[in-house]
Amino acid sequence: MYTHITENSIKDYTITTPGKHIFYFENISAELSFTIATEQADVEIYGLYRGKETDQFTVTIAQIHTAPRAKSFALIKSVLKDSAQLQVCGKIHVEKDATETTADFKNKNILLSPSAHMISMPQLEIAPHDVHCTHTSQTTPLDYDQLEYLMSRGITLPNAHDLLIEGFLKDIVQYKK
Amino acid sequence: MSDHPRQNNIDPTFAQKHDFSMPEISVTKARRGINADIVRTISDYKNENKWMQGFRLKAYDIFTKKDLPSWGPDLSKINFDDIVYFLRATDKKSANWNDLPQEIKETYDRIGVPEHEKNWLAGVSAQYESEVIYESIHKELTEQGVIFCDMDSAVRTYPDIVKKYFGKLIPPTDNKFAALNSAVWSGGSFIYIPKNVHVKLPLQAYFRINAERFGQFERTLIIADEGSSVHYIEGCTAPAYSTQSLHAAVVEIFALKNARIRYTTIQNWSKNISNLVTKRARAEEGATMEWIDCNLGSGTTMKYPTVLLTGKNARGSVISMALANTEQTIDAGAKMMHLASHTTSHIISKSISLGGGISTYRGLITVAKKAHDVKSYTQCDAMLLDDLSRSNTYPTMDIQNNSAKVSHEASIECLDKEKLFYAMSRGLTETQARSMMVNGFIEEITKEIPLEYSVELYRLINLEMERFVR
Repeated sequence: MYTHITENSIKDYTITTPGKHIFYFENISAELSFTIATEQADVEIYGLYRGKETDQFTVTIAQIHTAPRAKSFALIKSVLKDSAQLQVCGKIHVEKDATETTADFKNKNILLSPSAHMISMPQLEIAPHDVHCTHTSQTTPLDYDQLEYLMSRGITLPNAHDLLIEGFLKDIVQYKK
Repeated sequence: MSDHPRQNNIDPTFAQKHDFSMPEISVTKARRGINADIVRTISDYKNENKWMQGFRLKAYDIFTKKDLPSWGPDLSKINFDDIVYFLRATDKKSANWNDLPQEIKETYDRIGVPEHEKNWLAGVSAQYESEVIYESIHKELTEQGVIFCDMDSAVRTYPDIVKKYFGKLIPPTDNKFAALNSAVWSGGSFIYIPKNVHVKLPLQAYFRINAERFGQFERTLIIADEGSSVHYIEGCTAPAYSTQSLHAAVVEIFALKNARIRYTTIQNWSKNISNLVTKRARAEEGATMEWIDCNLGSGTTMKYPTVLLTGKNARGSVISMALANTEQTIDAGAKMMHLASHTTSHIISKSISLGGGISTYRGLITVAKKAHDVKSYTQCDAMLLDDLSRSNTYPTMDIQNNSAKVSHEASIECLDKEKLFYAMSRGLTETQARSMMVNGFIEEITKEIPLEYSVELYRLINLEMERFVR
């Protein structure tokens, strides 16, 4: 099942059927919650942010597991330039009865300009012990070595720049419908 | 008294050099509660200068106006009016060995605490008989120009240097418990390492142990001048029993240009204690600051060792572990503020929760706009051993410079069933297999602490696993 979340969509989702559920959003400020309330659910959440000029985004995502043997995976990627600002808070909350949960939250960001500003707050709140929950946050500039390599192959700096960003965002953009 | 041969050759001026006698002031028996008069009395009793007394009184005023933190464990049960804020060693009631919880007595035996240490740790005796050992270490340090004394003495003997640094990193306005400590502090260590001096032997609070040093409101100040290095250790793996319910210490550390400081804490206070500590270091150009923090005890712990990286090429690291057992909440973490370019930070946090314990990691990494080419890496691993316990992780990364490379990863897991099964198939009991896996989980921390502590810690983990399985 696929849901494209926009500014006007509902923000709280409860998953009650097993199987894959994919959620996608782009450049929105929102507080989103995903309550995984059934076994064998497999929830994937993708968020993409391209910030420019004076854009400001704040997004909070909660992956709330109340049923056992379910999975959730969230990936938020951003590319910020000019004076864009992004604040991402991603909470994984696993309740006592949600044993054998697998949950992951990843936030990866590239800052392109000196005035861009990123605040990343991944969180974990875990009660049962037989779970596998992880979160990762990375904020980096564009990889200079990769840029240099592309330019050594004859690609101009602006094109190399765009290529790397396109490559960085590819695994999220594919979910946009 | 021991039969140590040096006892017979003690310098007759020993008592004069190392004892300070407090002026006789009529102090009514230690009163509960706090007000400006009690703060003034503490300062008068210590014969402090006007500056320190004024500092205390201003801090008390700030304390009365500040709220408790709105986040973290519930601290509402702390009754500030029911606490005794100052006790002389001679006033302190010794615990009766028979009243000591059985669990603590058993722990001392199992982890191999030497007989003479047990009484002091249990609060049965106020003095730890280590004066003779201290004498020879102190002589070596003095020859190097190192100052290592208790904080009360430092205020009297080195007022200029104390005034230059005291309260500069952690002002009373920082938080309610820093304000309280600033008003009623007593005991703690003062260390000054001169330029280019490298202190090879780790300095331990043990060497000048008396009950004052391990007071409720210790204030520690360490200054490592340019190019110097020192390793300071406080606490011990063995549980320390205290009848006092609140310990609110403040530790300020200054690592000047190219200095290197390692501060190791191994704390295992008994569960009736709330251990609320503010620890902060400033690392200047080329300096390195390392916090090694082991939290094993106390009912409620809140502690977030911090490094302000104010000079180019400064480095900060926090390596911490927490073992949260029944009726324990350990809310600990680390903060790194990158205020200069080419600074690096590294945080490793390992926590274990069992028997209903709650462990929380709370972290903050900030990269200032002007700080170029910063690198920071944080790794938080948590192990939950049963369904009664909880584990939480709340990091924040606030990045305002686009050349920074900041990464954070965290994971929460249980003991791998397959690995447990394999270990047991090779002849280990379930307890032995669990102990081996938990000790392996914290190996990155135990290899950084001195051998005698890591041996005790290894045994303590084994004992906790045994109790857990029972």
